Amino acid sequence: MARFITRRLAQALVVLFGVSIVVFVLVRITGDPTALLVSADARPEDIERYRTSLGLDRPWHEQYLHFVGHALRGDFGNSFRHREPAIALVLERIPNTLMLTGAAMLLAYSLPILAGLLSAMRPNTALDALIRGIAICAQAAPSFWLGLVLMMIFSVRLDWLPPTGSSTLRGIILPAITLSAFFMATNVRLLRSSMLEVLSRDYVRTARAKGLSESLAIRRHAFKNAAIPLVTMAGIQFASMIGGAIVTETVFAYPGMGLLAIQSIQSRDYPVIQAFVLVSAITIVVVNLLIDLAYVWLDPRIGLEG
Amino acid sequence: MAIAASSTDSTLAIQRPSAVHRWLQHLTARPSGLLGLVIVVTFVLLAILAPVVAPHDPLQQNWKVRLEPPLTSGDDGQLYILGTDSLGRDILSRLIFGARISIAVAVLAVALRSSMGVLIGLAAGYYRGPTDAVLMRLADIQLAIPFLVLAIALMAIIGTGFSKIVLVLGVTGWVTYGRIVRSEVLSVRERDYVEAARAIGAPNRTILFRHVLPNVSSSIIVISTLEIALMITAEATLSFLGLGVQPPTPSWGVMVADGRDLIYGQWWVSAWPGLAICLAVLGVNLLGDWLRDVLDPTTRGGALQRRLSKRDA
Repeated sequence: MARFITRRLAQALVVLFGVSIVVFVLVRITGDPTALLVSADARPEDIERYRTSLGLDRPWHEQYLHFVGHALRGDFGNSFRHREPAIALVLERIPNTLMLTGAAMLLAYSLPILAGLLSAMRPNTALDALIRGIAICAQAAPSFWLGLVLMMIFSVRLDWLPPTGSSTLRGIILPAITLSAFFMATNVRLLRSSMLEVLSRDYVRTARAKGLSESLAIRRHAFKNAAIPLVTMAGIQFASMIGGAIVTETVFAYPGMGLLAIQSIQSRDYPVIQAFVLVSAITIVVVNLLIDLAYVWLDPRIGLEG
Repeated sequence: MAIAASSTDSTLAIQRPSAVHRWLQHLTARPSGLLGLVIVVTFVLLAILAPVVAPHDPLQQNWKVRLEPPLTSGDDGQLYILGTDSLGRDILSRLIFGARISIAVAVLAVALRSSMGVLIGLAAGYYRGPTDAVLMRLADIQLAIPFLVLAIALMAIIGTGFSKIVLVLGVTGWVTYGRIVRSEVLSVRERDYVEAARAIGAPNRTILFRHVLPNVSSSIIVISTLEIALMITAEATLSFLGLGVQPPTPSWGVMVADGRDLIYGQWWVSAWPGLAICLAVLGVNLLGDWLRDVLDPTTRGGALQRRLSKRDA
């Protein structure tokens, strides 16, 4: 158990080290970042002074150590646009983004379980066909468009919900549905197929044969096993949602770090982009670590293997 | 050698009708697969024949027929089946030409993703040891950065446009292939025929490409089909955000973005391109699901058998 946790922690550190290199390299892909940072009419000696002040005249490994040293202290430099520390801007927005992804995760792991079970328990009926049909269509709809359609229906036509997103209950409903739709659909299909597979296994047949009621057989024996793929997917889905939040937040003008990232990209605000990529990665690594720990708690065999 | 070749030809000739028959049987056993195939073929044909089938020039602006609703003829007396956008361009023609961008980006990006992933997966699974460890840690690192975050950051830095979007989508997606190919290689490399090939002194390259790769090909085909759907959405998303294909090139994502501020009145400007994306992705997904059931040996026959027996009953 302890060994498993230390190993996962070590892996997480290796991943974060790698991500820091990726972020460092990102801005240097084009060559000299000063070209991006100074105005086009700057004098050569000004550019040279700027290069020295950023440490760009030093060898790359020194530059990397410099970058990591500052990044560890949360220093990515000031945002060009806001004249504030880039990291502060990102951290300010992260609660909103976590609220949105949290709401979307909640949706993705509630309704689909009901729908998936209904579908699997009455396979090849009209209800099953309906659920599967909706799921496969929802999986195909691009989220930026789905957001606009929901806005058109529920904000413009029906005037039920505000067209701009916010972290209030009313303001988060449409963005959360938009962000979650693809994952809800995926989870319905995932649970249906794993449930059908589990229901054909011997231990479920035994449970039925020994006279357990159908609902008890399903609850006690089948569902727990069928839900394993869903738990496994949770970490990957959370990571995808952090990426998807960029799109959802842009569509609904929801004040999260994804919207900040898009605005920063439009104004070439590289310190903010760097801070955003690193903060996203740290969030994902931490959440995945927590999911792994929850996994050990749910299924002690996993801890013993490590 | 010539005799051997001709004899395999003749066996193929004998088997061919039955193979075609088998595939047809698979298709008719599952109408959703057939539907997917029809949708995909339709989009591909529209893309190829775009200049012939499009009723108007997709780039032609006409200020007299701005924002005409679907199925109305404008002041110029021409019929605009799906309406026109805010610059008076025919939406149907732009959709048809947009299919070219979507399909081209998706196919090229998947070609890049799969070849990178397959090579990396083969190397990791076959050489194992440090090569494997390094490559799989790289995969972990890449998975910690969401695909869209990485793609958006890269597009922002290297710039936008057709070739750059292909490059960015292509290099950010090898992990799925890499992991699956690696795990299959790990199981295949222990099998007797690979052992035998190694024993008679076949070089690594021959073993990898002749004996190992064919075993993973069906997985690669299935993943690639589903990846095409993902890439169609990804291209549209990046273009919607202004980081992909640039206007005036007709891309479905750009077209949805064009209609973003018009949802209060002119719904059709963003509705049609969105529906086109849905339909294309749906078609590819249906085809991919069907291919998975047909090609996956663990479900092969089973699903088909069930369907067939159900129809007989």
